[in-house]
Amino acid sequence: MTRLVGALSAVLLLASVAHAGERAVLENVKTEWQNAYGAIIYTVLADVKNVSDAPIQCAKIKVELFDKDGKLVAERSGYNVGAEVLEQDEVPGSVDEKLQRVKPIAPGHTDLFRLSLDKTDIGKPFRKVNVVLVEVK
Amino acid sequence: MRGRRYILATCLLLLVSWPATAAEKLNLNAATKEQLVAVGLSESQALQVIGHREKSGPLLQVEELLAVPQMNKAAFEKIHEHVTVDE
Repeated sequence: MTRLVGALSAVLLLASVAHAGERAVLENVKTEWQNAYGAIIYTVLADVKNVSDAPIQCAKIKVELFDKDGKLVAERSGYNVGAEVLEQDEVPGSVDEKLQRVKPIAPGHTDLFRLSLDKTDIGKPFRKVNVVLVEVK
Repeated sequence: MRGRRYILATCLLLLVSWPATAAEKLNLNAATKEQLVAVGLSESQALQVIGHREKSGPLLQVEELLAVPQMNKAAFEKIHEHVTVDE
């Protein structure tokens, strides 16, 4: 796959690192534009760090894109890589059954979060990106 | 006396027009090849930006330039403060 990766220095983005009950935090939030065989993809990457004393099963993260007037352009949410099975509809089983398949994040450890949006799904120019930790189980 | 007034008026005019001139950014979604070259891209990079625009639609972020073939970080760093994607 020919892939042109553009790393974006997301200084403003880093300011939006959020906490969910202080059990986990988002670190090293960055974004990049990729050209994958002509498909233009916007990707958000972050590290989910478990700052509690107990393992975390999953962390749900919301990505919001805002235009220059602060109006919401696009919104999407997803889980850390170890818990991505939770958002895969093709995987059979209830949420509780899927939760047993996820790899917990041990105290003090991190897991990657990655979420990609197709350019055609964004549609409008945007300036600000907000990455928020919305749920930790 | 007349000369002084003329100088003063010229200075005021420059002062008033300067911020607007400095704040003007080139819209990547409307720029011509010549304008893209003038802002700091090579001719082939400028053509790639126009090609990208035609194929994938208007750029949604200045940083999307980094997904344009032949664009590199050095070229991006050189121009990103002088360009915009907002109308």
